Amino acid sequence: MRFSCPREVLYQGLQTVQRAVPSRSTMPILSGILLEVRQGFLRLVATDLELGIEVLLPVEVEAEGRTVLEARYLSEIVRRLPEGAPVAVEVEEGGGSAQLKAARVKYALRVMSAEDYPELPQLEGERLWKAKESDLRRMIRETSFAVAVEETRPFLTGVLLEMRGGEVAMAATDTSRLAVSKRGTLPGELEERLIVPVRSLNEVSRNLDEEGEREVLVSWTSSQIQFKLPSLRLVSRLIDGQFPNYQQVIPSNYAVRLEVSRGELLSAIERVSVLAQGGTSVVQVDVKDGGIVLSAESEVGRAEEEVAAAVEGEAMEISFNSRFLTDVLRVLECGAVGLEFTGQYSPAVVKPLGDPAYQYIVMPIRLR
Amino acid sequence: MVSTCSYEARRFGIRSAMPLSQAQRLCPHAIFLPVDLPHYVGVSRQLHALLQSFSPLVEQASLDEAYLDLTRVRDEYPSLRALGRAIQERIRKELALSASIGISFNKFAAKVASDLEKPGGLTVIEPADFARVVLPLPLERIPGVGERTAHRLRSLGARTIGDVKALPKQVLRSLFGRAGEEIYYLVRGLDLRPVKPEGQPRSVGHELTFPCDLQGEKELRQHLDAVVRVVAARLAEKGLQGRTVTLKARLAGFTSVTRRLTLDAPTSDRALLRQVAHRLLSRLPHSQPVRLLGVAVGELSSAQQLTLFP
Repeated sequence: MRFSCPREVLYQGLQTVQRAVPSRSTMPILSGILLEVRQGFLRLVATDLELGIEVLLPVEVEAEGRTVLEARYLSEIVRRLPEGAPVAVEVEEGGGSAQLKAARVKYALRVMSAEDYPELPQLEGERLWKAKESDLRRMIRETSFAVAVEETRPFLTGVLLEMRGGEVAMAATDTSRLAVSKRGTLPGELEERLIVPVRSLNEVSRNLDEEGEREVLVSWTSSQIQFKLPSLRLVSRLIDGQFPNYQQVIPSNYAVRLEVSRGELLSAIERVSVLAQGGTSVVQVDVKDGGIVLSAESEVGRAEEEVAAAVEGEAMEISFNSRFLTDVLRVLECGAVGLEFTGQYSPAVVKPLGDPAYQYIVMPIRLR
Repeated sequence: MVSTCSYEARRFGIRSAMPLSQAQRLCPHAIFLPVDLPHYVGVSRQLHALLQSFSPLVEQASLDEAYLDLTRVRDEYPSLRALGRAIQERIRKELALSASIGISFNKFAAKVASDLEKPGGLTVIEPADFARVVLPLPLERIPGVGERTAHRLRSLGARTIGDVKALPKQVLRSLFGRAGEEIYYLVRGLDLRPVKPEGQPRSVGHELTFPCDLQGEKELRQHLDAVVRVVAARLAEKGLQGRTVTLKARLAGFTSVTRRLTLDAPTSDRALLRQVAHRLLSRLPHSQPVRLLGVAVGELSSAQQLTLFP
């Protein structure tokens, strides 16, 4: 195996796949990265058996072949090579080490057996969603923050990918709040409910462009899901379990409705919650004519701020974990949001104004 | 030993910490009562609850002393004196006790004020009156000044709070360190100590020690469930929820190990706590006999996060 390419090309590729290399594993081979030179490309693969990442890099191919190099050292070496230097990598057939040369530096690096490296499965079936890059990225961004962190209920540590009636939605909940983003479309009658580990989705998202127009091919089996771009492929395990029936907790009416500037509300909550209690940071929303008053207090003192809002409905006092509000307000990009309260102790809804594709439902806090 | 005595008895020279025989000699017709701590604690709780109805910021300084932060309620009364009277009146009506109240702009001045007209007094010290009222008092009245500090101050010729005020900061600092600096500010009426309401407990927990070493996950789980039941009940009783769950186990040989997990949101839910406790149990060193199991729930909060799904 022999190839050469600019240092930056190899560096970028390693950066992408390295995120799937496990920090510790009972399988030593997984601490390596698979390098395969074939048909004008260098293919890099890394996996921890939950998530696998593959990239294809255009390189100067001199001899085809494959090998596995220790991820830690390979990345460290390439990172330190002089910028713009061409890198040449060579492994002799059956040889015990790889030669890596750039500028005036030479490395001989121990290799592991490529035969031992677990190959990423190719998921190419009929079950396929052609997602628009920017939409997929946005759906992940709008939901992934709401997953549960603890592992007591593993199915809540993932994001639900739901296909139904020609629509594709993502939903995530930690049981106190729920984020639902419905920005995908799908021809046909496919119905599917898949739970994707949030870490895998975040890796997908890292490789997508906010304004990108590329098509991401999403395909799946009952236990795995694949996200494919022209030179990148991610394969992730799916999480087993029954995601809660989230539709039934989305309120269909409200007692109070507010329209308020997203930016103003976000910074007001951030200012007020400085004085909120340590454990759960509670912010109280006091709905009045012509606006709301946000307040927070603790042993240290009390903070209060008025925020102008268009109010429809009755007066109400309702308290929230401030983080549950700031999380969603940070993720949205709209100018104004609609807040709908159904009662002091019942679900509240946050919606970006004029954008029916997104809903965030959050439960209040009961103070004693 | 005399634990405490009424103002009437004090007139005969009886003091706290005096031997009973001496007290009897000083005042033969005095009535001696045994200490009934449970009763005092009960009344003290009632007093605390009563004070809390005036302001949520109540700091219990001892069984029969408390600081109240009245900043946010003073405007509801025509004057500070009227507010003090209202508190005194309620204590008299509901607990049949007389109380001395001092109202001022910080804790030090308020404490001094409350001591000025005992028993049953009500004294307000306005900031402008601080120097006139407080400075002539003996230096022992300064908070944090005990026997030894007082002795050293007296050896410098100081007798009153005013005398201490005349001492340079450097002298106080070199004599008493940081505490000296605090004294320097206190005697100038600068006391920034906030009224600290009684803190919530840091954690709620329960432990079970077994008569013999136990082994086997199944058996341990049963005992763990019993511990969790108690913890969940205590949380519910106090209206608290916690975000961290710590499992403590004492293994044979008296080594203790702990395992901890932090939840997304505070909980007092027994089923969830049980599930978490079981997970923590499985993380203990395997196949070791266990002598004690305990569960503690920390990062407590009284705010209850409601949930969308059961």
